[in-house]
Amino acid sequence: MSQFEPIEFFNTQRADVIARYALLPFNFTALDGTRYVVTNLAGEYILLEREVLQRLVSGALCAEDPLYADLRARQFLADEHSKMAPDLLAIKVRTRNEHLANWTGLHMFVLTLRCDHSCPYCQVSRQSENTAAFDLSREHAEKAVALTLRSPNPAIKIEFQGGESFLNFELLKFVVLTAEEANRRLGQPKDLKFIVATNLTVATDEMLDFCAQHEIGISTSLDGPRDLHNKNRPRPGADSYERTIRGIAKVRQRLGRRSVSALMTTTEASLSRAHDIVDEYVAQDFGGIFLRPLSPYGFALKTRFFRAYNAERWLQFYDEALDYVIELNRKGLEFQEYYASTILTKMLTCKDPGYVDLRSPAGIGMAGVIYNYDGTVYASDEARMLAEMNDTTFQLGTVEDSFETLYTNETFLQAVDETFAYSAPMCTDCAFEPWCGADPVFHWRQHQDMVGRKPESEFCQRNMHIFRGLISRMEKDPFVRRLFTRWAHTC
Amino acid sequence: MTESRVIEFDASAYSLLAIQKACHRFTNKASFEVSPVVRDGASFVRVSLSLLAEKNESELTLLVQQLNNEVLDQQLREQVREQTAPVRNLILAYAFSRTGLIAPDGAPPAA
Repeated sequence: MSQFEPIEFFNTQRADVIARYALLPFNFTALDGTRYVVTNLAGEYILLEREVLQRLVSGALCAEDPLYADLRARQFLADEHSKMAPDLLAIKVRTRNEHLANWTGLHMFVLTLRCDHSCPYCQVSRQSENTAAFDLSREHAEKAVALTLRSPNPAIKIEFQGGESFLNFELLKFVVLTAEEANRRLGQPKDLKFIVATNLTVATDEMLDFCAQHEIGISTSLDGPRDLHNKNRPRPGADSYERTIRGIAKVRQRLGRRSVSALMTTTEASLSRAHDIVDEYVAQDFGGIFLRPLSPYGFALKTRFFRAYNAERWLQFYDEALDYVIELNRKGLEFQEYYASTILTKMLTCKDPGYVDLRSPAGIGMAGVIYNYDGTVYASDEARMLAEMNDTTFQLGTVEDSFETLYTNETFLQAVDETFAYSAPMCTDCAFEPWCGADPVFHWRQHQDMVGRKPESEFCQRNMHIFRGLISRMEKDPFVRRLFTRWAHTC
Repeated sequence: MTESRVIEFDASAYSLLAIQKACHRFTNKASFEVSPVVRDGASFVRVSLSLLAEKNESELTLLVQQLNNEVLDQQLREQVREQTAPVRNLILAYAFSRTGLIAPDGAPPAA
């Protein structure tokens, strides 16, 4: 006797008559003139022609329809062969949202506002290198460490920010040693990691040895080739690029090849240099690049840098760079665009990489929190940049406050409540919602409204364009589908 | 002068909510006034739209066409939402059941 049921067992529905099925929840959004992107609650997607979509909704699909089995397999519909479908979908939704219960994992410490650079788009006011007036005090740092370890999250990352973090190296050491010691004393020590954001221009051997000893990751800035980088990041001697490149080499030598990552900022001067910027990252042996636009905060806004280009122009730049990255991969080079990888992980797997700007409810406070140099606590890095422009809407409190007081701050709770994209106007009907997020600080800055007006939102415009672009590229080209699937699984 | 137009939707074919949502989607291009009307015993939803910027007649026609299609989409979404409301709630309740984010009515959230 066979251990399998005969085929008739599985074919209880006749293929040529309308199938008996129930719809499971989904959303749809037009991809182009005829096709719709349809996503289920867990963010899995399928493309449907309008006519098929209408037949699906009106219950008129036959079991022999080419897409019927796919729609059932991805839990867009359930029939008598898929009674477990709602449970499976629920498990996927649970997996995707498991980070919510963990609370804040990223804790940023602004060690100093001092910096040796005078970048015109810098999001925090540049201060002199020689004054300690803009340094975080030991007393405040100690309290910030205690708040950090009070978070229920079992994995804590402390990120040092500036200014230039290494200009206050003594405090960096103090925070690392204090946090490690306090963590050891916990009943259940946390998975504690450190990262330092630095332009590397003042990094010494002593600093890097300390980083190596305590496994501190390095995140630096590289805006592109020499001329572009030095134009974007002026410093005395006009040698920012040379110092950063030397610093990257030194870090790799002492801490290992994968210990340093880089971020770039797109200025107006970058827009016509998409290929050059990608080539620079390839030449410096990075495994990928994170293409990101300027944010509407700080000096970027004061000096009108932010308005130097709009979302549409940035998207042209993004598309050009992404297509170039794809062509490099086609020629055999393994190289990623990390923003695309983050989104593709959400599109093609059940994991959520937890990227702060693509979280719903918004990642502010819940995903990351920042302890500013003066002991104030903000819900995100952007929130403290907003504060530099005298808008302290997103200040949670100070390091003197208790953990409970900080996280029951009314504005914070309001932001979390209002930015649940699942219930925000337009987002609630959008097929891209499971991949998207909310950025209340951005929308507050743009519209004085935490939710923002989506038809006018550049955040919405930018992400919708990228979502559509990634899907269109995958649908057109099997090579890109394979490549994007690989990216999705490495994020 | 900005272009404006009045269109009507049959209320037996389209819900007020679907029409309101469709209008909201184009609030970056036009302002809308939505009102239910009854005429000769039949119900309609009247939409008056005025372009926000000075544009020509053909652009207004294009916007009306886009609005008509969007109303169709919104009506279809409502059908899906209506048919799947119970299972949607079940799935979400299950998905968040261990997070402590959902509490029975009247009970405080789990610690």
